[in-house]
Amino acid sequence: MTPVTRTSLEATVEGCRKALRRRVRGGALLAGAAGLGLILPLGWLLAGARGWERGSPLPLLLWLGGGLLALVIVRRLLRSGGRRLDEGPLASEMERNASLPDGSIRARLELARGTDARGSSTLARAGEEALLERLPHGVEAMTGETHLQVTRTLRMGAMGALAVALVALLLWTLSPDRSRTAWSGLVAPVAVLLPPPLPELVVEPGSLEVPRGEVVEVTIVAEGRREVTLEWESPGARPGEETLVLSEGLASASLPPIEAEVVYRVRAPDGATTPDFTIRPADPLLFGDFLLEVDFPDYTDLPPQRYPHPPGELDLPVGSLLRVSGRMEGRALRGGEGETGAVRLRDSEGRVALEMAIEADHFEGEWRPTASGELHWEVAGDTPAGARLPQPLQIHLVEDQPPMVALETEGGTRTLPGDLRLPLEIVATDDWGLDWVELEVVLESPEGVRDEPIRDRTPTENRREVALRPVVDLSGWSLEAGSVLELRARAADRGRGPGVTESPPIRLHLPDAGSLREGAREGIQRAEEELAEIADRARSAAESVRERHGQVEAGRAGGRSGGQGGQDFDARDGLRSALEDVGEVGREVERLRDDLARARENLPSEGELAQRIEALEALLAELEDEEMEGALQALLRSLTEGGEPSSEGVDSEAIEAWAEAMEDRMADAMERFRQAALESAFEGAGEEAGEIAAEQAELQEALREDDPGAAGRQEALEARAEALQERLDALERELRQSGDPEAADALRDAGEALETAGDRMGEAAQAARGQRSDDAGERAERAREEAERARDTLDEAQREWRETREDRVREGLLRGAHEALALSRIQGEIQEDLRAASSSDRDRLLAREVVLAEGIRNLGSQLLPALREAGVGTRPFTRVLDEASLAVQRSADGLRTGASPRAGPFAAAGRARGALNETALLLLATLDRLESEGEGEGESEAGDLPDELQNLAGDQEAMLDDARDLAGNPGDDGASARMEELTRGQDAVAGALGELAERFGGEEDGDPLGEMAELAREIAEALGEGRLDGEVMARQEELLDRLLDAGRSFERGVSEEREGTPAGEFERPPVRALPQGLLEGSGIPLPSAEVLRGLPAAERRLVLDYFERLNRRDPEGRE
Amino acid sequence: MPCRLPAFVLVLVLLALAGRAEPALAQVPDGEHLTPAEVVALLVAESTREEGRRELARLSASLPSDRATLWIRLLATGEQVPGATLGALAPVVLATHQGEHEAALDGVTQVMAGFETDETEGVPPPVLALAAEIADRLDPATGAALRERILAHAPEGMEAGEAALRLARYLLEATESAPRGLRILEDLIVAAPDHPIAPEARRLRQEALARGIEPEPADPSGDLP
Repeated sequence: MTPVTRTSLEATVEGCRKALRRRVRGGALLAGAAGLGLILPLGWLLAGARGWERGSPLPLLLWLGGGLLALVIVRRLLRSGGRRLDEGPLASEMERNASLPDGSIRARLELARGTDARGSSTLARAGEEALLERLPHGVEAMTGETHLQVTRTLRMGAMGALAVALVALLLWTLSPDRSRTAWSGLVAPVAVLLPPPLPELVVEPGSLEVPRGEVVEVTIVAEGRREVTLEWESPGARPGEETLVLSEGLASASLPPIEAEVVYRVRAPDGATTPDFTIRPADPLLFGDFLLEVDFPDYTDLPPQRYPHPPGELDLPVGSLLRVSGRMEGRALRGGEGETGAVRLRDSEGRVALEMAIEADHFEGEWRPTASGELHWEVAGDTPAGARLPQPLQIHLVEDQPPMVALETEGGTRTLPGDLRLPLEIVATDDWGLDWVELEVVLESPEGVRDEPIRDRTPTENRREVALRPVVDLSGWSLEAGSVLELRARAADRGRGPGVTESPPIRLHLPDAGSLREGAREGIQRAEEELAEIADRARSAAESVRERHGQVEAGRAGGRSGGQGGQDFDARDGLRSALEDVGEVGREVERLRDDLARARENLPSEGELAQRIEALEALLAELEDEEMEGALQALLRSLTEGGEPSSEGVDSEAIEAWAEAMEDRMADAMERFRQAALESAFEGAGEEAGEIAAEQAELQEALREDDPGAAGRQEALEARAEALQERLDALERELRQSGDPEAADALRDAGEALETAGDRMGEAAQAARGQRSDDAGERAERAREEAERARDTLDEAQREWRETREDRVREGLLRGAHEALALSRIQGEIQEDLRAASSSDRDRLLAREVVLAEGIRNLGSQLLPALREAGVGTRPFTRVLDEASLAVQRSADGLRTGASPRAGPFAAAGRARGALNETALLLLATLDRLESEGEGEGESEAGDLPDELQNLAGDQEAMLDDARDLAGNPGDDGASARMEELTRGQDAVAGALGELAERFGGEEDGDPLGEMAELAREIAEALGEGRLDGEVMARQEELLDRLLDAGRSFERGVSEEREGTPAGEFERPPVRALPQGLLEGSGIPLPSAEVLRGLPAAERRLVLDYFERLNRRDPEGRE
Repeated sequence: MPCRLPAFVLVLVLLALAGRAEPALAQVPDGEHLTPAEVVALLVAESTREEGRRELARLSASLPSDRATLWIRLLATGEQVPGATLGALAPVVLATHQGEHEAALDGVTQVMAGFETDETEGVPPPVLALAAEIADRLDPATGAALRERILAHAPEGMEAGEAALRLARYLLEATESAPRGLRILEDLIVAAPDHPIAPEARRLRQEALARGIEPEPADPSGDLP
């Protein structure tokens, strides 16, 4: 029973209507669903077992039809049900079912709606309730028939829907695949109507050539289709076709035997069609048992290759051999009258490359192709029908490529290393394999004379790539300064033809003395820069050790009293790290020493430069405090191994002292290095200026004589002058910074002269290129003058700088000694006061001691820079000044704490005075020592004297030649100018000799330098007066002889009564062949005096030292 | 200055003895220090002067500090004067060492006189300084006068600093010269504030100011380095 609200009649009626309406709607919808659901079985039926056809509109139509049917059903049911459910008919039905008078409910409803304000709502309501009392309960009872009908509708709709569902379920159960296929089309009716394009048809084998009569099977891939049609046609035959059913998209069929050309294609029902394929029948080859063998050339190491069928294309290395053999198919071949049958290969130009006679149907031959190309087979004589010749043979000959080889030195250097051990790298490659690799060395003397080449060859076992790293030991060769080594590498493959490649030559120079010195000077400058960095790191490391050690000690103390372990660990780790840094600093200092030792290696050991470097090496050795650093390393080891750190010898005080000492030593060393670098830079610049002036003097003549290469050389020299100018600028800045303004000014002057010289050089080169030799010579001469002025200015500047520095050092040390003595006297006065002082004098005396302590500190501050400039270690001085300070401090402390002035303070004052006296003595002793060493340097300067005399002799010889020429041609143009120049030159020689006499001459009469200077002056005077006669020239010759003699005398240091030892015969040993990658040296006899005489003195010494060093090496290459 | 003939004769005798002692000195074994007289004898003779310098250094290192200072000064002076002057000064120092201050002063006066009579530029400041130190023991006024000469002729020399200090100290002892002494101290402090004796100069200046001394006006020519 469906309850209804009975609050009022209207509500009751309305409730009935709603209830019934719900039923009607439900029934209509279910009926509509059933109608729509019919598309499922219908779709099942219409799709069939094969499913929907592509492009079929049926699924869409079914949807449309089913939708329409459902719509109609629903509309009709709703309409009919709606009519029945109007208020009037329903009210009548209710009246009938409730046995109420007709129209009673309707009237009451109208009454309820129409009651106006004049009406009685109570009365109306009473009537309504009476009616409601009489109505049965429940919609069914009230509506009776209507309810039944509506319910019937609902039931029918439900049954229809259920029936359709059951049918669909049954269909699914019975044939799920068909159901799926059919209903998937219903799910996507548009996709069925508009399907995606199908993949293309794929046909195998496509077009080909087959032996005549062969049956060809065609395979077709046609995804998405059910069947395809194979069509074929052949001339003289009816076209054929066959429909093939596809299975999983595949189908195959056989064409009829191929007797003639057949064209076939495949079509699909969807319209897809393949292109036409052609199958051609091929007649059998004329050759049976065919075999083509390829023997590759040896250099390829390839195994032979066999072809049982005539190949169409062959890629062959040059030198390959082809062997062909076969048998003629069919009846025996016969040639014409007198003609033997043959098989030939003919090239595109008609030439026969290979001809093979046919004997008993068999042919064979071999042939080595020499060119690429296409070759055609042909047979001389009758050929059987139905046979064919092989396709043409395309031969590609691959040329054997020559090997590639590269030779390089380590680092790409072009200078022989000081130890004469030359690491090389040789890399060689080849396309097929290398046979050998060779190294060739040619020695060229400084004069340009080339020795026979020396070669060493290594087999390479046919490897395609080889890298060799030999080290050529030239220490056993008789090399002179200025020698050149020319090296080449060669590689060969095993192929035909040249097969040998050579690398570009490498020329390596044995540096001359000047280059070696310059290299050593640069080494000093680099060392200075590196030492500054090392000093920073050392300072930082020492500070860190100090700090961390303190923390470790504090941590240890804290540990004993129950302190924290974590901080202790950090401190230990920090200390370990700091100690490692200290060790690293030591290693860096060692490396720096080794670098300096290498830089010194090839210098004459007695030379100033070598001694300077040796002193720097010794200084670096002194930086090490072996004892302390050993203790620190032991501490490091204990920290690294864990456990309790070993503190033996490394308490805080010791570390403090070590750190301070290291800082002092580093500062001392840095100042010494700075001085050495400055000195070396000065020296190097002077030497370079001298070389430039000398070369310019030579170039001057060459330009005048229009020498072809002179312009280029002049330009190169101009570049050198510019480079030197830049060096002078840098040196000038450094000298100004270090407080040497006079030297800096002199360098500026030299730089200006050099700049002018450079400008004149450029002009001279330009004039030479313009074929104006006179102009070029003139400008070159001016360049020479300026270059010489620069050289002289530099030499003078260097001398004065040294002297100024020496004076400054001397002044500093002496002043320090005087000031120490002054303080000593003051302390003496204080000490005397202490002797007689009473307690009331304590304050006054204390003040004096405090003031004296400050004075000692001032003394220390002033002394350190002077000592460093002197190149003296500061530690002894700081130690003794510390002693003095400490003693003064003790005296002051005694007075401060009330000690009797005559006791402790008095004794301490005495010790302070003693320390101050010791300071003064140390300074005076240092001054004495430096002055003694300076005298030794003076001797070293004297070592340069022969060189200078040699140069002056050269100048004098040139002037003598000029004088002779001028005397023979007095009337020439420019004679007077030349005379003036000759006079100036002679004056210059006189001046130079006078200077040398001042520096090196004795004070006694008869000094040779003084006499030569005087002679030169007299000659200059005579020339100045215009005299150029036999007497003047004789005196010039005399001066020249004396200069030459004096040079040799000063060099050997022999007395007037010389006893010479004649030199023995010298045979230069032959340069040995290169061994397997290395060359062993052996003892080399010294060059003869005759050989040596031709060298300048400085180079002579270099060579002698060099050979001496060579002979110190034993055959094993050790020293 | 009164004639110091007896002292001068003593110096000559010492010179003679030093000369006569020459052959024996050459055989003094290493490790043994010569006496001051023996060292002086070496210094006096030109041929042994270099050896004398070495022995002087050894002697200076061996003497008690209060006696050594003068000898060290002689050694330092020897670096700045000709060898003959060193040889002439050595007996003077010996006389001072032996307490014969008058003979010493006479001797150094003779040495100075030698510089003033020849064509040199005057007495070298180191000699003046040594003479002043010697004179101080006998006659501070003489010492002060010698220091005035150092400051007048070599105001920037290495002897000038101590000379200024000691001169100032001498001048500060007398009321009429104290202002000048104070001026000298102030000029020293201004010119060389970091000089080792500048702290002592400041102390003396403070003492003088505490006594109410005022410095005299600055001399445009300048006394000091």
